[in-house]
Amino acid sequence: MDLSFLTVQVLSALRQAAFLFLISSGLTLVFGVLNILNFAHGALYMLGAYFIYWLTLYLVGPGGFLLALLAAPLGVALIAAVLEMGLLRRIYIQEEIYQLLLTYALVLIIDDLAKIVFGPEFKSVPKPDFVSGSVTLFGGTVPVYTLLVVVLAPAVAALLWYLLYKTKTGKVVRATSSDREMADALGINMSALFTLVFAFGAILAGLGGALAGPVRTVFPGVGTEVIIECFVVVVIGGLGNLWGALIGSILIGALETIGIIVFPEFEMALIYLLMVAVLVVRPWGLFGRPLKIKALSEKNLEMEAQEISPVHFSVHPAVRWAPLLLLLLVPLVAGRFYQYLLTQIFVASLMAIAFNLLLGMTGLLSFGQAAFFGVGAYAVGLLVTKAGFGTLPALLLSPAVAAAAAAVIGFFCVRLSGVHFAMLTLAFGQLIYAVVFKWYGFTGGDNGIQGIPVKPIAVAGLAGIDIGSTKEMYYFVLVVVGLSVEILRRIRSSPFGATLKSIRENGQRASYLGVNVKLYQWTAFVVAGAFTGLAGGLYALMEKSISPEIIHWTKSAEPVLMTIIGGIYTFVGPAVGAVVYIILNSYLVAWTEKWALVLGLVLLTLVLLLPGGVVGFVNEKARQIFGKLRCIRRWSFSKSTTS
Amino acid sequence: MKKALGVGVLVLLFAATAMAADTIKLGGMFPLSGRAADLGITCRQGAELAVKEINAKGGVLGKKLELLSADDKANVQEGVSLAKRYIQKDGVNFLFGVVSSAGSLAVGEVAKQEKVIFMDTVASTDTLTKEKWNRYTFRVGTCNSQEANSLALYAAKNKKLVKFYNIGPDYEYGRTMWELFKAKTKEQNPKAEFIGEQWPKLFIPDYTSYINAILSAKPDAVFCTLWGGDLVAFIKQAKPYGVFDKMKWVIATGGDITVAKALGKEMPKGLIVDQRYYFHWPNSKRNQAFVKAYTADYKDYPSAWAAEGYDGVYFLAEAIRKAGSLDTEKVVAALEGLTLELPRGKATLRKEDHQLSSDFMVGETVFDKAYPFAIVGKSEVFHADKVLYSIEEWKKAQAANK
Amino acid sequence: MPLLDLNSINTFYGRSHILFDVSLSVEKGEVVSLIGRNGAGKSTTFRSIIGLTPPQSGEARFKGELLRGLRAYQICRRGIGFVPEDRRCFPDLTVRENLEVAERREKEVAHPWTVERIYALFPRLQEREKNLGSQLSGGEQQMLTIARTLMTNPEVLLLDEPSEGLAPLVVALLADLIGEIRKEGVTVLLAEQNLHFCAKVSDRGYVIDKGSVKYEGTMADLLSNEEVKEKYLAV
Repeated sequence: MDLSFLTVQVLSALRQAAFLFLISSGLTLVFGVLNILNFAHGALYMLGAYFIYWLTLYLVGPGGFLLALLAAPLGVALIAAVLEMGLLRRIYIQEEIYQLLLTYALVLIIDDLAKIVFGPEFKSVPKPDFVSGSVTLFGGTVPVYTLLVVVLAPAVAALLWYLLYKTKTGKVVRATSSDREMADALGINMSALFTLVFAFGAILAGLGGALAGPVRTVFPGVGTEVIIECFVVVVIGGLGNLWGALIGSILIGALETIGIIVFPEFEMALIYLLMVAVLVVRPWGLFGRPLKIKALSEKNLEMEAQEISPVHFSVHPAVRWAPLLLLLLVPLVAGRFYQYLLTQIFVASLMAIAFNLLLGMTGLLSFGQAAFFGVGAYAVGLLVTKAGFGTLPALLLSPAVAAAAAAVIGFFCVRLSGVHFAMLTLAFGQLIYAVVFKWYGFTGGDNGIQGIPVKPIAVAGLAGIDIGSTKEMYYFVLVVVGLSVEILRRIRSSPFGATLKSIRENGQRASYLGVNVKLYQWTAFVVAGAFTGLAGGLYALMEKSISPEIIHWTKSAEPVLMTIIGGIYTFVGPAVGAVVYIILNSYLVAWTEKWALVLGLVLLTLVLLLPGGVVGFVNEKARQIFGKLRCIRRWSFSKSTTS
Repeated sequence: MKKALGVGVLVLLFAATAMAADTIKLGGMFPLSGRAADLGITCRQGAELAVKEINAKGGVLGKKLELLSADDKANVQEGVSLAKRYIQKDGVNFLFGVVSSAGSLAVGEVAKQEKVIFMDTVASTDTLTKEKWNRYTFRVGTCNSQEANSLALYAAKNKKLVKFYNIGPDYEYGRTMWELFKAKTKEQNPKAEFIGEQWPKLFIPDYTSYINAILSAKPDAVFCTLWGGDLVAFIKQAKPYGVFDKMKWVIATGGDITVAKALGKEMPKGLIVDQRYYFHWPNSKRNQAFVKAYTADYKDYPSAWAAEGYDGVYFLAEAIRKAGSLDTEKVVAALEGLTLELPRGKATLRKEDHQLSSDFMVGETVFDKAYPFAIVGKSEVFHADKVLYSIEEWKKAQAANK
Repeated sequence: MPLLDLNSINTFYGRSHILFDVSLSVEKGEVVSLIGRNGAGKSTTFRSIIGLTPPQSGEARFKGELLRGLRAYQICRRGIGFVPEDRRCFPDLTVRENLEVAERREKEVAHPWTVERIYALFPRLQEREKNLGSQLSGGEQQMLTIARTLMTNPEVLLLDEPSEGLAPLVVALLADLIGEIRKEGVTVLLAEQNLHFCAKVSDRGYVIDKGSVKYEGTMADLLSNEEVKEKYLAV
């Protein structure tokens, strides 16, 4: 390895790290103070790129590059400030997971607006001549732009350090980052500080985008690609820690550069392997601090109270069985498409309800359920196409395989909590995605498995039950999902379920009572994984087509969204959310090209107006109405629970 | 459960499925968002233009054509869902479109199950019409063989190119193109060596490490299958290193007009590129008329994707006319072996495998005074029988296809 | 007019009713105690005053002004200082920086607290000026937390269980300190479990149990009232 090669490689890694640092630093700063993992940070990056494009094309020309480089981030900061003051502020009091939904909705909206304003084609930002050429360094060719980036990033880092450690505002920011409440009680203007920090984070993201514009392509949605990498950097480095962002960026930059040479085949998965490795050894990241367990006073207990529905359903079998009866009658009145849509809803509901066993019941946010969904789906797909299994045996094995995967993954994940838990599940999910994507010979690679045959189910003695048609599949899925949901409901109201709830409330206190918290969490994880795998198996049979996409984190996000939409603390919430989401998605996509904008706006409205999700809202209204109707009052809980 | 009640209401509201209107419906699936949005949107525009032209002349069999369009997000599962929705709810007569190769395979399966004709426009995997061929799937765009083999034949003219390197996106398209290119190149030039490969993940933002690897390997030529925005980013990042002067580049779909426009004067000259359709070749009346009409409606030159969308509609229209009915089997029969004069030239949908057979042009990037972006010149035309996989090969592949 | 006046405060955590019609008042210059067992509602009362857990109903007035709807920092700036029971020094900041970030310059105050004035009262903190908050001992952290809140120029100081977990020697120092603070013109509302500590430093007190005020009287009254002590303060 000669010096020129080394020089070029080192500078490549540093360039990569530089871009990552610029964007990640903003992300970690915002998390430290506002406690939000801002999904829309990538969209701000994209805006930075678009702004510099627009500025150099229409206002200042390529010569004004440096001016545009300074102006673009400021424009992004302005938009960010408006977003924070207008939208984010309203949801600070809500559960953190609502902030996730809000920032996700913002991504949809901002990306689509960018498409509408700038067009869908990828744009290329012209580079001014003085940064276009290359120089020779130790015999290696180095583009001037690389030098620009590699010099600018540490300069920004130094500036950040100065601001945070040597100015009073910086110290206030650091103080607030470690203890928000205390800062508030000491008279520090939280509203202004939040806006300031959010806008500052946006400046960094915008600068990253503006700097990236001339050397990368700009298109609507470009932010989604960088945001996951930034999440990894921030988690590895330690949430809220700027040094962590710096070291993390360098690590990832180096890893990607080395990985291309040493492990080209598995390069896709390397950053996730690194994250797994770091989190297993240092659960809070390299420089991170354990996130504080939320005190009772800091939790939004209003939402949890909605768990208690105003009418006790199990008292009235008619109320419980009526929906099932209605669903059985659907194929008699509705066409194939509606049966198909409902089948999709059933499968998604099962996945979401299983997911909520972790979130709503145990307090664990898993961002990797798609891995088990995919494992179950591929189990069925592979067993049926390659091993000639029958439909039912393959389906019965899918939850078993998924449970096995969950057992292994869960073992590592339950050692963490909160955001770190979520990120580790995401990492494992992406690892499985990479394996399935690359293993062309076995899994079909990115083509997936198409045309999965659905053989009739052999029932002892009788002829096979055919479930190939839309209607037959509808009933089959309805029965399987119905049984699964019933089992999950019983788990929820069992002593096991009660223990999970206590862990969610206050894990530490539960452990003082002798509960083996980790074991319970792990068990919940495995159970959730099993049912998610079953949902995947049903999916494979229903669609007869599977591909690695169903393992990608974007699929993992679906049960999260559905549960938040429907209501985290109720049992049917996730199912209601599944109905809303799938119907919205299906009809919006067919109705308009701007479906992302509309979907984003709907989700935004939901977050702002319906804390507690759809079911929570309905429960509240029902409680109010029932409270007024004397005749029903005796069936309902007449007064709120008091401790 | 309240969920079911809500759903029940909705279901009853929508229970009456719309009666089929008196139009011929095409269910179009295109990526309208994300990285491939450019391909999807222009493809749709080409199709819409064709629909407009045909309807202006009275439609087909007295009925108007109607193109439904929805965003499949270049996502396989969305495509499947959309296809089923089109068939079960909208009662489309044909499935149309698709850019992602994996997506086309999945939609092809749906077409087979539901016995609805699927006219694939952009997705180019050979597998669709070869290993996973089915009776109802047709492709009006070119496939990987035509592209890779033409490029190999063109590059092979230069006997000085011996050491080849590859950089391509890490998925089936990239890998298959490399395999095809290698095979054809070796056939033409037995001394050819293939000294390395790089497989960046699709859509990564930064290619500098890969560029370094290529530089240190010192190949004579590089076969590159990056496309669209990835190709633009790659060229922008690679140019300062002088790679385009140091070695010969063979870039599949490198002549893509969207790439050329994005790069403008920055596009390196002398790259061996192809495009699946050129707005400036052939200089036939048919092509000129198409370009004129497209430019009038969309203020832009048509891309290859637009032309493929356009061609797809015309093939369907002509086949329906020939068959005299919308009956699927009759239209399938009419499509098989159908030859049309298209903007790209004369082209036939082969009877056996339903793949478009036409001339394929390869050339090098040049600058022409008439346009502010690079076009393809110094071209050579390859006939289908030289570059498209043979029917014998197809028949062999069918043995394993069930 | 009392400096701080609570009238029928009801505070909830979600649906859980914690404070039931809590009423108390503090006059300028007093040191008043709020005495009760663990979980009686002392911290919740303070959190209700400072606005971190705003009450559902009832009125909290400071110098006659209603505190309803104000954010914690706004309440602080009006002159109420909160010293929480778990100390909560900013761990990444030095002692000096902890003091500096709390310095408020918005209001015109006749005799503002400065770092120098703090060091005069807390010489130990000056010695440990350059240490990080996380490097201090329990007693030092308590000093710092009180000092830090003083930097916000409060007229009334809410001290939540300052003697908890401290060595008896340090507790004695603390008692002196409260006396000094009082001399500097700061009114103190003290929450404590330890009746004798309260007796040393305060004039009168409220006994709180299970979220409501059960008894009010002077320290002498309280010390002699065996029934109250047995019922509400015994462990």
